[in-house]
Amino acid sequence: MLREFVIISIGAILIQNFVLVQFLGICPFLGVSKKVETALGMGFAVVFVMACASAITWAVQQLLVLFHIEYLQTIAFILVIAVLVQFVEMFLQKSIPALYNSLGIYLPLITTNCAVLGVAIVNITKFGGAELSFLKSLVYGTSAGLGFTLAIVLFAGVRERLESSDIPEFLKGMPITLITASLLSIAFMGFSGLSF
Amino acid sequence: MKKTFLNGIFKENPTFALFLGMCPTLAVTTAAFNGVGMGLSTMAVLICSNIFISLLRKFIPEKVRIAAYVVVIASFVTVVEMALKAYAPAVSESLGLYIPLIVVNCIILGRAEAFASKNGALASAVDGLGMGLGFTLALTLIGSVREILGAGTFFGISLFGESFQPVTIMILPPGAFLTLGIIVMVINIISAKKKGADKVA
Amino acid sequence: MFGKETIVVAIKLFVITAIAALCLAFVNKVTAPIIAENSEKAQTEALRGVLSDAGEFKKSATTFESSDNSVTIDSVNIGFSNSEVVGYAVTVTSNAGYGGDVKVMVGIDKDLAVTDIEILESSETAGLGANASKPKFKDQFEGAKGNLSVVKGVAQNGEISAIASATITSKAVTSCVNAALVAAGELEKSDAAENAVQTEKKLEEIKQETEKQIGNMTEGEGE
Repeated sequence: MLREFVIISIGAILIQNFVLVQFLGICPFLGVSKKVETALGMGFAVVFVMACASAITWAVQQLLVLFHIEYLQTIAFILVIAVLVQFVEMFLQKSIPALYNSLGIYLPLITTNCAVLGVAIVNITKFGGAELSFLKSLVYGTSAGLGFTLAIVLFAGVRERLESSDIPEFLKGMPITLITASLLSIAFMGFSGLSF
Repeated sequence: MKKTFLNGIFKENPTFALFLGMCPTLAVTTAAFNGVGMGLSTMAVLICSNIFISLLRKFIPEKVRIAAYVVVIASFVTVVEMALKAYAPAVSESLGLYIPLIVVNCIILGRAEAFASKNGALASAVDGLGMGLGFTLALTLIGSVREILGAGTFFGISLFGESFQPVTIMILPPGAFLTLGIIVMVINIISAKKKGADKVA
Repeated sequence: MFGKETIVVAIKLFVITAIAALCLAFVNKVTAPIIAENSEKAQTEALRGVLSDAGEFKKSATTFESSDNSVTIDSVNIGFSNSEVVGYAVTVTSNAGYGGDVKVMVGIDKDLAVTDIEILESSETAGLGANASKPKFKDQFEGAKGNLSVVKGVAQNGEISAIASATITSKAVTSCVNAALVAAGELEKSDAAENAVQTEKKLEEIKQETEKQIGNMTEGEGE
């Protein structure tokens, strides 16, 4: 059983990396990756929200199935995520101000991070009918967040170096950023085919 | 009116100028057909949500406007999702997970906040049409480049015959970033030249 | 605790959500039967595709376990033509693909030779592993029997030539086919398929008999 969880986890972090292989959460990946420090902050905020979202959307899905209204999935999930992010923000502000100060500004951005809604939907399609689906969803959600963090921190590291290098005029800004992401994505392709 | 329409296609093209809605742009453009499908689905949602949010702009309370927008958008996305499943199962299959994810496409929420909440229904519809077309064209362009180089086909039709060795990496994830990067570079070069020409003149 | 404004805001938001949910319920009612019909059609089309001789299909009640740990046998459909068993369509999932699960439907005739295969679901790499659904690879399975193995390069009898740079995918698909062949063999031996027909026939007889009796009874009442 533990083996299964390890496989799910490594799959989500390396093989099916959310950002570089599945293209989820590209907006913050390109937007908040100029400095390693901010990237790390964003990354941990995402891990936290994804783990909570996985747990709560699992429960919501049980309700939807119970009342046979699965077609309201998208609307229910996105509202739950929006409310969740708001609550997390309020909770952190009151109880753990230190953490709030370092994550605070990234939290509202996470609502429109498609990786969070993505992980909720993937959880349902992937583990919907399986045994221990709750634990599996939780492990998958947390690992997907860790995968996001890994990608964005590595990317920010490269971008910090790019700042000081001499780049042709027309490549400055977005083009060179995208080409860098392409090279990073090639590196992550090396993980696919890891088998157990 | 015409300006609003053309604005979305060229000057403020959501993909090449504003870099909004990057996830579907990169994920589904492995073939030109997917680009068209994703573009049109997004356009349908964008036009409908723009019209409704514009009509409801007096009713929606300022404090919870984002939540209200999200509900409107998510409803239209679900309608599109069900319609595609029923009447175009092939499109629904190839786009898969990325259809419900139209909800969090920043273009739609962005236009709701920046345009539809301040303008009339007709203008909002035109804005949605322009932005949607700009997005569709961009996705189709990226999809075409990737499909031609990566699979040797265009809309599924083989172009170069059997002996062509496709550049497989173009339809793999790295190819998505690379194609978009190079297209933006070309646009930069063209607009720089144009500016230079303007100065001379 | 709550001001008047808060309540108004909450009610407005609730009204929007309720209307949205109602509209969706309506759209769902219209599209749900069409979607169900589509998926059924796709299923029958896949079945017809792998086993073209059969006119109708029935799901086998027996479940099968594969000795290969990487594959699971999802379902077995028995193909009939004029109430005669003409073959089996076995749906198998392998978790040993390059990008995750690979779901394959395998058509097998009465002589336990593969008629055709169809890749139903896979997340294999586009341009490499995804080529498994192309005829060049797929057609190798036609007429194959027994236990198949994957080789790189030219294949001999009982061997399958792997797709270039996609050996893992090739192996996953082949192990699905092998498991399907074993399952079909068991089914053929156990005559479960024949039994199913027998039961079907018996049921039909009983039904006719009952109808006759009911008919007699109503006639009796008439007198």
